[in-house]
Amino acid sequence: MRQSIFRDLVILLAIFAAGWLGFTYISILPEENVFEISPEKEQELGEKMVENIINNDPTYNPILNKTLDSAMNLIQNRLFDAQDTALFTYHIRVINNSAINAYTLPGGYIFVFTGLIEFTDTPEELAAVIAHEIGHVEERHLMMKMMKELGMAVVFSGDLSILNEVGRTAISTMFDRKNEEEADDYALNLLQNANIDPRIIATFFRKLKEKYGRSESMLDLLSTHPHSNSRIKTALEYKVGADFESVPFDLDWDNVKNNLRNDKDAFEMELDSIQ
Amino acid sequence: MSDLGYHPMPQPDDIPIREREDAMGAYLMMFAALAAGLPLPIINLVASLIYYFVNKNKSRFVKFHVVQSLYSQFPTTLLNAGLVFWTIRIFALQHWEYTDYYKGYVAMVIVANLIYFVFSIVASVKARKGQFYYFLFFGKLAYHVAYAIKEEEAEGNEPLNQPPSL
Repeated sequence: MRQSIFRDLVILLAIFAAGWLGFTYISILPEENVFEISPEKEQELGEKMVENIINNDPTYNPILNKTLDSAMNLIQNRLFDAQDTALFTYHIRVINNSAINAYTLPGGYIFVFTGLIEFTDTPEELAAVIAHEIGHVEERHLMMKMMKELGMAVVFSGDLSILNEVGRTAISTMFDRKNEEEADDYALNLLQNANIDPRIIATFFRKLKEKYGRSESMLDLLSTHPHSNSRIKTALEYKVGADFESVPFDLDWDNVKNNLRNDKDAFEMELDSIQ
Repeated sequence: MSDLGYHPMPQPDDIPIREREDAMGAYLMMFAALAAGLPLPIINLVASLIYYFVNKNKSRFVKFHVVQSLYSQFPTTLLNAGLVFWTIRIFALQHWEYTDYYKGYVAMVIVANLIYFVFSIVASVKARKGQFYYFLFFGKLAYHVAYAIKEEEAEGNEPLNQPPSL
């Protein structure tokens, strides 16, 4: 009797363990396959969202500054040229907002806040952030997340009022740890190809961490907080190829930042005078 | 564990309606208590314990079903409590960032509860008919708890008159 009871207990535990592991490794619900959505379709959605933001979002203040524009061109061209393959044509815009943040809309529309530019000490740091954002787009994380949160029907409804909501989801979306690591990996590779030292990511992470401590950073780069240490480590341990040569940007970054600051002041004065 | 054997089992016709209903109640009561204790799955355990202490000294048939219901309640409650605390942890500390293990655990807990429900309903119907129904593991355990002849029982029942030692 004792043996028989014990055997039953073992069977019960085995069933439980098998069930747990089975459910862990076999996805129960078929996920909507994001890769069935063509890049063209995503691009189209992104265009609509950008248009919507430009027309309807009062906080959308694009910066027009020649020094900054040429600096941004230099940075983005270096990154784009280093891409082996790219699903999208990327568009980077700078927005006048003091938050240290950047976000991406579907279809490769990246928005960088002036606060982020002022926070960076070198153009390479900014390039690292942009490379990370490109990583999210190329790996289709944003679409995956939006599909998960809103569903295919909503995302592609084409309804303007819904589009606002979709846009808000896209901007506020938090990626999970796996996605962040994938975007990091992509960024590390891309930076290396662009002759930028990939370890700059670690420098930037650490700076962000020092600024924000353990509290929540606005930038999605560091949003999955408890794991930022391991991500710094990954970036530091990244092995660059033997033929890697770091080529710094030919930019006077302080000058770009000063110029931006003056321009911002002028912009704000102009706003004041209008009001 | 004693090797003194087991008490004989009653057949459906031997079991009065009253006992059958007490036995059935052991399972049905859990559902009500489970629903009441949902956010913190502990109330149902308290209720089952009370039901157990009230009914354990009734007939062995009742005791068997009460014990089976109570014992099978323990792991179910533990699983559910584990889910609640894991979920709170993820919510509070990890910004809803959950692992595949958590997802698997949620699915497994749901399945375990469903199995528990189905088996309990079948068992309650059988109990009402005056029949036994054995869950895996818990059935044997409950049978042993309710029907094994304990030493003190065996001692009291020893026939007074013994044949001479030859």
